[in-house]
Amino acid sequence: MASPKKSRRSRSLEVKQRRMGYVFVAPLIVGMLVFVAFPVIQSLIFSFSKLSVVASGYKLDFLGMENYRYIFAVDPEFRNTVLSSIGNMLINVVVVVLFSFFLASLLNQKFRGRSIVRAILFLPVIIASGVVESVDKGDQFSSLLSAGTQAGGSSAVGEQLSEKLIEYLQQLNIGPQITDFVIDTVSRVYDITVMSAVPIIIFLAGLQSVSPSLFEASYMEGATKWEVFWKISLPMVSPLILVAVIYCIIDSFTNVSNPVISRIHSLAYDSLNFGQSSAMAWSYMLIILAVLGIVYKLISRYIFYHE
Amino acid sequence: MAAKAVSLKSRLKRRPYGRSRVGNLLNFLVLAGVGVVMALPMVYAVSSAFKPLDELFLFPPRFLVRQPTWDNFSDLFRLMSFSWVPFTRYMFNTLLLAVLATAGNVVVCSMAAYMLEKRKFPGSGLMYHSVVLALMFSGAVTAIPNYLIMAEIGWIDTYFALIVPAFATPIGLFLMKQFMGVVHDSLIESAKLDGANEWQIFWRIVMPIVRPAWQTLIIFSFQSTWNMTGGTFIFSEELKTLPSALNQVLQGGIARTGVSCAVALLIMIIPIAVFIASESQVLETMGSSGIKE
Repeated sequence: MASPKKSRRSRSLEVKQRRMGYVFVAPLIVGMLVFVAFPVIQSLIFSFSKLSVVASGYKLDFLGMENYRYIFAVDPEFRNTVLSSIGNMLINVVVVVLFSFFLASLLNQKFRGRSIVRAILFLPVIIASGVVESVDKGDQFSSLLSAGTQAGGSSAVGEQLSEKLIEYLQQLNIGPQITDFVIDTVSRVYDITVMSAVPIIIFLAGLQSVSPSLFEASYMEGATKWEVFWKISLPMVSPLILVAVIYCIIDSFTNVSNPVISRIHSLAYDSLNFGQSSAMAWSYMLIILAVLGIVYKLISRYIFYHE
Repeated sequence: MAAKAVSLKSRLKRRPYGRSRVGNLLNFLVLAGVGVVMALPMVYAVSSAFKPLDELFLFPPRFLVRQPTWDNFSDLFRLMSFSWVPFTRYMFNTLLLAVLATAGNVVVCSMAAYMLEKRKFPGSGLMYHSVVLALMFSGAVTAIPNYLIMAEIGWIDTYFALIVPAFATPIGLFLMKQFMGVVHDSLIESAKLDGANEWQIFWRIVMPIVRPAWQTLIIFSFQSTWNMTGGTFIFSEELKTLPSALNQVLQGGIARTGVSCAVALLIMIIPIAVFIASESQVLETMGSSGIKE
């Protein structure tokens, strides 16, 4: 370590700080450049060409916008799947953000067994995140479960449960509409809770970082709990609502069970059409960006930044 | 002073959320309901692993095991003793990969997050935004370019091909940077006044404070690396991981059902142990950064 006197002579604090900044960030940036940025740019090149495998490796034939034209003008499915996944995303995000905010406020209080409840709530993340990451193998856990229940004919626990539930509801005889609604909700509960795990962490962190003096002051002024929630907790956590919403949108758009993502996969690995697959991935990313931009503009208008 | 601050905090914390008996009961019911939904797949996986063959193929399937047995596990070890790579080797490979990749991921992402959050230098905003942008890109299409890069570096069929790309992840940076905001600038400044350099500030001040954050990241990262199959990068059988061994077991088809349930349980146990070990600390120290304003 250089003595302060010497370093002051050689360079200003700002320059030193900047240099340390680059040193600390360098490993991440180099990693991202080599293993993310470069492949992504390569895939942009693929998206304008036809990739064919030859003996010496692969060969690219430049096609121009042909792949993109095919996706938007010829492909019968792409537009519909994108639209339906946007619709799905909107429902998911609203439900997940409300649900996880609610659960986070519940988990934020002290009660016996809190750590057990938190542990159980994060279990799906443990099971599911592995599934999400193993892109090349797809659904490992569910294939295991289905291997366990092949003979029974159902693929997952949820299905089994809802079968039981359907049976039960039919016996109750309360009308098909109500039965359908209940079943639909129940079959979504698991997905919604799985998606909520990370937003719950985000909200919990936000709730815990609100300064207690704010609560103290408002109780002194005679505010009720209801008022404190709407006037203190909610505005103070609102920047994190934006973070959670963005996380949910990206999660909903890019997890492996998303139909567009699985189509991108199948184009690349089943049809071996890497050009079209890359073109689709790029168009999809731009669509996601546009959606994110709109949502960001809409929400940030209502966000309260406390300084 | 610190003790006083904590007690004041806990007193205040209790008050806003203090509820009547009915409210508490409602809370409990909601949490219990959600908890049951979350825990069921786990319970099912555990109980399946102990089911004898006739119960596995029972129709309609039964949720819980009636007559638990170790048969599936003994079958697994018998099966694995015939393969020329011992089962423990797959286990060791996976453990090695997951531990190294997780450690690297936490260090690399925390270092970058600390600088990007606490020190604004030219280009820091651009760097952060472009990394977060990478979150939006599906990994599917980058498989071929990735393979080409690995071939170029000469990392094919080595663990580097699996470990090093796991170091720099956008989600890790995103998570760590979000939590770095908790660290008060005044703490960092006072450490600097006392003569600490950036490296010391990072390891001695910042990392202990954001401990809940990196424990969360350990959970995520360990989970994802634990499930790595090696994919297109690893060819040697003795370098393959537990999930890929599992896939081989699964290819045995319906006769291996019991064994595959046992492997599934073995694969899940370690991430859950890691999770439980680190979760007890997660989120507990978030608000108490040692500064009272």
